[in-house]
Amino acid sequence: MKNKILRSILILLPAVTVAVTTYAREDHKAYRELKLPECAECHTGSGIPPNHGGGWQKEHRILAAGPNRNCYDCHDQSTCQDCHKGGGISAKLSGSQWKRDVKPASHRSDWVSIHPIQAPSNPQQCSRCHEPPFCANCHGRLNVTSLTIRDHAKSGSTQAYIAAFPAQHAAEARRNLASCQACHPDGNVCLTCHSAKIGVMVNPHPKDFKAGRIQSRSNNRSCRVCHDF
Amino acid sequence: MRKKKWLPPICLLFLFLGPGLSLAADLRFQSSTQYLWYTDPFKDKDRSDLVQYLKFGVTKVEPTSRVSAVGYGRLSGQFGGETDPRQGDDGILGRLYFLYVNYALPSDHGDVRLGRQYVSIGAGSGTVDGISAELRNLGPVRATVFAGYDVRFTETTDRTRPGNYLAGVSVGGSFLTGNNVDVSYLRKYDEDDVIREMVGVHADQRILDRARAYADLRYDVLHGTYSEFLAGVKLFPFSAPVTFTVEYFASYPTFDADTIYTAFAVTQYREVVGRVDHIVTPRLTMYGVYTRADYDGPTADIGTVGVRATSKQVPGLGLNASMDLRSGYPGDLTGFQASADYAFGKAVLAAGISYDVFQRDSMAEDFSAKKVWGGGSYAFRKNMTARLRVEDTETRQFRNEFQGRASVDLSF
Repeated sequence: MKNKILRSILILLPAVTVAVTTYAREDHKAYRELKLPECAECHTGSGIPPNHGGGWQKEHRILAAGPNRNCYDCHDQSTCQDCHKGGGISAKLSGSQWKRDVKPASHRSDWVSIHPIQAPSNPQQCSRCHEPPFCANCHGRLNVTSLTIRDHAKSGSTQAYIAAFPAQHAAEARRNLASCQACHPDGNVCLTCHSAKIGVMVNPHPKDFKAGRIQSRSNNRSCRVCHDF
Repeated sequence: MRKKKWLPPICLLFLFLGPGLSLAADLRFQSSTQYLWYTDPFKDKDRSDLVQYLKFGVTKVEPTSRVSAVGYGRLSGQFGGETDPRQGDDGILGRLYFLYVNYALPSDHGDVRLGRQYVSIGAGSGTVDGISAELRNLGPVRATVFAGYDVRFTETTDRTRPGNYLAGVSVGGSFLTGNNVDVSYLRKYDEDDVIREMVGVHADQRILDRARAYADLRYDVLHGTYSEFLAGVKLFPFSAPVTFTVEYFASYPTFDADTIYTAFAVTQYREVVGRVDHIVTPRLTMYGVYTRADYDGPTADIGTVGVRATSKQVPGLGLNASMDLRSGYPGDLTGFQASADYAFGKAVLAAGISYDVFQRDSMAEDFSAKKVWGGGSYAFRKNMTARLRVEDTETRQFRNEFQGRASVDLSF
């Protein structure tokens, strides 16, 4: 028994020693003043690809949230907050703004008009910076007759949902449900057809809907809107 | 009694600053006073804001220099003409981005932070009024844990409420050569109900110092489905810094459980990305990206090429340009962005243009939009810089929106 323990220690000790010395996080504080292309001099052949390039805005999420991150060697939390929450103490000359908040470079030219094209591409990307009320703040104040949405085509002077094309409405809603929430934050308009209490009672749930955890963890909160308990 | 939204952040700021000043610790401030003007798109009226940013850091509070404090916030006031009624009665708004005390553990084993702070782990991110601990250099293992009130930023304020919490934990390590593995868990509460419960799993592996493969998963526990999945490989096979990236990404958008949208059927979004980055010389970098996006049926092709360059003949001159082409669902876009900056002496001049032609939907017609901007800065002293930026956007409604920012930045 003692031999087994001794053998295990002898095997594990070098592994732990190598791990401690090899995988110590590289401290980048000394390099914080370098220009980005200069970083490639070390990174080439080191097994760490150069980063902070043209695609960094999209790529940084994984590295910044990872266990081996070293963002704080060069940045403080304002780097995160300035983009994610609109701060602007270090606003660059190239940095535009939306009212008081600095806008990231991805929000190109007439972003108010262009964002419906970008929003369905990974719908979760918007919510990394914006809480749901952010969309409703604008959409709730829009003149609805000015919208040009596939399933909300103009009908006289209104922007009513075209009931003649329910399949298209369903497909569009499933692809970008957040866009429904943008104008109908509490979803009351959906209940006209999708409630289990009133109307035509069309089931909106996915086929393999797992209600159990939502019910138990959130105290039936969203379920009670449509169902009696 | 009317509530002053800007008062709590300011009180907190002075509460933290007081002890630091009295101990004659090392204090560093950064301030930016900005005058902004813009057009309110809903009222079609010009508005002006005066914004004051302040960021500070206090170190060397005690002999071991383990304790430090940092803070960052802003006050803004709107004036002139008709102000936005959501600004409150006094028209002044406050936003506190972070304000925390940091205790550095011995031997660079990590940090413990108390106060408002930005937190991020594989399962999610957010801002909390609470506590976090980051442990590292403990052999191959690293860990992050945090808990606190969930801070939610809205257009006019940031707030915490009893019953709204955010908590998370992440444990990771490097167990093989060039390997990182991380498992994380995040839970979000609203009025004491769990509205979001996520598990994140990340793994990456270095391959022969010439490639890195990675996979990242966010699993939504409440909905019993994955929320986001990313798998990719980066290849850098040559001695010259050329990086090839191939990624597969899939997203199944789930909603917080405090809304009925949480129970609605949604479809997958998938994309495959191919990307090349080339640092040709320290003065010239180029990149190209192709994305094939699949919206569970309809598809889109998206391409971007870009270049960044600095001039050897004209020191101080920098150029950026990119071109985007997008075709497919839900709309098309062709556009380019270009900008140049020129630094000479204590001054910097910069200008740029962005032009897009787009069709938002197959039922909509083509529109175009153009944005031109220009600006400059001048460093009066090493710690004092004035900046001016103006921008004119011609929107798809053929309306010009003119906005700008004049600022004086100080650091001491």
